[in-house]
Amino acid sequence: MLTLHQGDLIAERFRVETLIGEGGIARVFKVRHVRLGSVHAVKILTLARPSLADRLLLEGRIQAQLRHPNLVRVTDVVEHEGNPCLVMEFVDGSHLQALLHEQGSLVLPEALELFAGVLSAVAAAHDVGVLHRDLKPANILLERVRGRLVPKVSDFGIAKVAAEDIRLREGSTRQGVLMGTPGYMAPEQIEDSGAVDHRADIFALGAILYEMLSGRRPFDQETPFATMQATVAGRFAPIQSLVPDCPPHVATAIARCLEPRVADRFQGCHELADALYADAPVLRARIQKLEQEALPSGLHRPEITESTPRPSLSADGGVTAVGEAPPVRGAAGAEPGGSLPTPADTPDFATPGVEGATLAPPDDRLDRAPAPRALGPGSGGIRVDDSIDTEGAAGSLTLRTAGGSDAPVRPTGVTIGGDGDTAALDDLPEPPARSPLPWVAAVLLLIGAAGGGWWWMNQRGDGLPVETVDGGDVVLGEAVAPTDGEATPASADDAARAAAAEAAARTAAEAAVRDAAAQQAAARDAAETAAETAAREAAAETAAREAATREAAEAAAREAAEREAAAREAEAQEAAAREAEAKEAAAREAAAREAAAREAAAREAAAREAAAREAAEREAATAVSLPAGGETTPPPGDAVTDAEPDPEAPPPRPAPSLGGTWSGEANGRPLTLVLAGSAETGLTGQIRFTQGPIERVTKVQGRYDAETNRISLVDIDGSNLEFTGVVRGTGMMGTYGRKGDGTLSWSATRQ
Amino acid sequence: MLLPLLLALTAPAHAGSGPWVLGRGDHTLYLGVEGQRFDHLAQSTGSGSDDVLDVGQGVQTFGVKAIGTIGVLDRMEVELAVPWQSVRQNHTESFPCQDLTLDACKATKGLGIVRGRAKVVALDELFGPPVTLSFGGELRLGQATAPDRERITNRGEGSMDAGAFVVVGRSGGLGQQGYWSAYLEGGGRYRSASGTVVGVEAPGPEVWSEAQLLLSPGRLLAVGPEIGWLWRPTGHDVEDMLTNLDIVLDVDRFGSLNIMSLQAGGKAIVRASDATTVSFGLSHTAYAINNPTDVWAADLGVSFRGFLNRHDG
Repeated sequence: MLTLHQGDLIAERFRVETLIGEGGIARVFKVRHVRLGSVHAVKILTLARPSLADRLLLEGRIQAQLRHPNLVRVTDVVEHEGNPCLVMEFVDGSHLQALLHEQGSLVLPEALELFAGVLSAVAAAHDVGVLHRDLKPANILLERVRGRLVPKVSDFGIAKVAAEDIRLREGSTRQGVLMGTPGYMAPEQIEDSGAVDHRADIFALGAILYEMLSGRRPFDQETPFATMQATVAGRFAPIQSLVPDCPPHVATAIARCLEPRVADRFQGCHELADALYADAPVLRARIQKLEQEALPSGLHRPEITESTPRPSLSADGGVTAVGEAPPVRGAAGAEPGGSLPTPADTPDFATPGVEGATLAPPDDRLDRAPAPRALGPGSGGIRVDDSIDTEGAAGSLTLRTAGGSDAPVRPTGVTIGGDGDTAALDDLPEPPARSPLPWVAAVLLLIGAAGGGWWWMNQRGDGLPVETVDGGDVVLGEAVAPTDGEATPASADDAARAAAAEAAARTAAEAAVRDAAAQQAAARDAAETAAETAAREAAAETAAREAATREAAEAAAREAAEREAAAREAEAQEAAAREAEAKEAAAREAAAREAAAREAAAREAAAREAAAREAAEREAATAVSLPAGGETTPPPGDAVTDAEPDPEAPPPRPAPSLGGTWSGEANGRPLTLVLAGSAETGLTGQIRFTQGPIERVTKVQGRYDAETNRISLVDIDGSNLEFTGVVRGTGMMGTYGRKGDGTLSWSATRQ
Repeated sequence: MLLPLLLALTAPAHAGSGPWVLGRGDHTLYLGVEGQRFDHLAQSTGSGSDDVLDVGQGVQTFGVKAIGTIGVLDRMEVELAVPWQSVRQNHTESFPCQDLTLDACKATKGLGIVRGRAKVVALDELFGPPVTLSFGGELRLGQATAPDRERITNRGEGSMDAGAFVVVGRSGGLGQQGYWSAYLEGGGRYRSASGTVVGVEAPGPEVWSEAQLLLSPGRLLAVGPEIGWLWRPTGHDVEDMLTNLDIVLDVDRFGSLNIMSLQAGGKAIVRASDATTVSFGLSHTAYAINNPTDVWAADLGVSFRGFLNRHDG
């Protein structure tokens, strides 16, 4: 008996990982290629009888040339200690026999789905003249691929190439050697194994489908011999008697598969597929497609002749021809199939004993199967049902969830046999791993796009808006910059409002300083003129000069009074603004400081003016002694030289407040302005464009020139939006636009 | 690739749609529900009944969606859309479900494709140009849909996508208080491939377009037609998928399809107040390649504007 243990090498390149199946004539190991790391199943003969060796070799050669997703692929044939070994695709899963044992039967869609794969595989083999001749549920492995069971037909161990039939008939398939499994063997196969054709496989397919739907074999009897008798006689219960809802065309197809007479069956798998999947064109198309794609153009029937040299398969190392293979006796168990053991209840009669007395009872071993047991707390609720042939013939292994669900399971370990040997199973395939590079690139792309947009926006809006003040260009950004030492406003809005108020106050202060300077210059000019006049015209002009001096002083005093009144009014307005805008404390403080500065400037201007006046008077006094002559010229800029204020003159015009809501249109679109502030405090507010999908709100600030009634607003977001216009009573109108976008008209009225 | 089209068409008006953007700091929040149903899937061109696959008493989708939009600059806004969806097939024992395998018809629910967008206005009709023209980029995160992407009830194809788009539109007055608006949008997206399915990277890149026209005779109601178009030029046909195990057993099988879909419908928007609008959309498939041929999709939602700083006026 060949003995292999975990870690042993087969053919110097496959390391044994675990025993996954054992039959009467062969063992199947899960192995791993020492260099490639790939996982395979290796079927190795434990009884190196030449006939079995030849059959194993034949199986390998045939399967190695078949390419089909529903066939177990054979990738190599090697030797180990003189024993032939088939290196096969490792199928991680159970087989149909075990599935039926667990579930009893399958529902129609599930059965037809699975059967389509089996039928497709067998059809592909038939297309190149390869027969199976031992089709049965135990030879249909089930691999769970991404949650779905994929059938894979294995064990073409007794299949043969049709063209080689005559030669092999005298060999391993000679008369008197029973090949197949009772219950699935066609009647003609029972009578003469060497005289069958592909229609024997169709018979087996019918029996398999019958069992899938009903959970029973069609010719099941107490003994294999009785089963074969029923098969030959064609005695079986119609499928519809067991499965009442079985569609008629399916029942008819099964019955036709199981016809005792070869001529009465379907003559090919395609015909069977047409009948079975008449109302499932997709499955039918898939079968056809798989058949077309299954076989490479180079596939040829195996050239197996008596003269074909073989590896050293015989016990003595000599070459054994197929024709020399003697019948094998006494092996009642099944051969291992694929990577999983053949169940014990389907004795393989490929190893002879035609006599019924040698046939083992088909089902009694299942009765000895141990009860299902849980793997333990860490098994995640997965239960293992196992039935191992205690005679070492075969075993079955299935996994299912504790609740009986067909949900995908991921076995992590299984126990085979009663000795508790445990081996790890590969996890089911995971979805393809994702490379993180495209994701990272996409994130960087989006960040780049956003950054580019931000840069572009800044490029378009980087220039600060420019306002014209008194004919000169003043950069508004400088005007609203906070002064040193001032507290930073708590929020952006506060800062904006404070800056606006501060800018307005500073502008007023600058205007007052300029006015004072101008007045001072005018007074100095007047004094100089008066002195010159006095020098030329002497005492005759004294009275006029005194009057002019008095008037100039009175005018200066009047102007100072007006400025003081304006300052008081500004203070009053600021106080009102304080009451109305409690949140603008910083702005109020700035305005107050600016007002104080303005008063100081006014006082300073008045002081300077008084000093100038005194200087003029001193000069005039000095000039009194000069000779008289000439005329008196009034000081420039004073058309009215009355000594007393004109009662008809209009009072100083108070700057109106523009606070409130203004509605109108901008370039034909609805426009709303919400403003706060006045000429003294500056303006802040929002400009809203609202029309259908356009809902744009822009925060603005600006100034109102009460002298010219001009309003100018700019976007505080730096987007170059400019609004300018003229106030006329309760309405205003003007132009707007962005730098470079042109100028459009707007108008609005107070609401 | 059955649902993303729905996502594209159920974007609400007045929140991120069209070329227009919100002002800086302005923002909206859309909350809505959406649903769709289809019964047939075109196996290739969808031009004949023989090429249409009955998916078995229909596939239905119900979802909720939140879309937040905020203007970050005067001419730039960003948007984030987060959907949650539940999809189920009505007859899981039908043949297509068996044919497609991989629990193809098992119901799914969860987060859909999360989408982020940034849009910048290049031409602004408020300031002279005859139209508003915007461009931008989008990032779509579909990781939450990856576990179920092999199902016909998928909510996405599990990929992360990056794309760019350009949109042009114009609006104007209609009557005393009404308006009209129209826009045409087009874009493309690169989809990070989850894998290769029989020589095809899945999912492949896509181009898309949508257009909308709204007419509002008064201030209260606006209605108009809209269409959406999606095209993925590379990939297999559904027919190939059903007959090739290498395709049908791949979890990225739907992502490997060559698809086109044209969806046409209409939109109605009711302005409940200055800050609140209610929108309703309904659309149906007009043409499909390897995509559902008879999708009915509907959405209903409310959009709230400026709710975070209403006190500021």
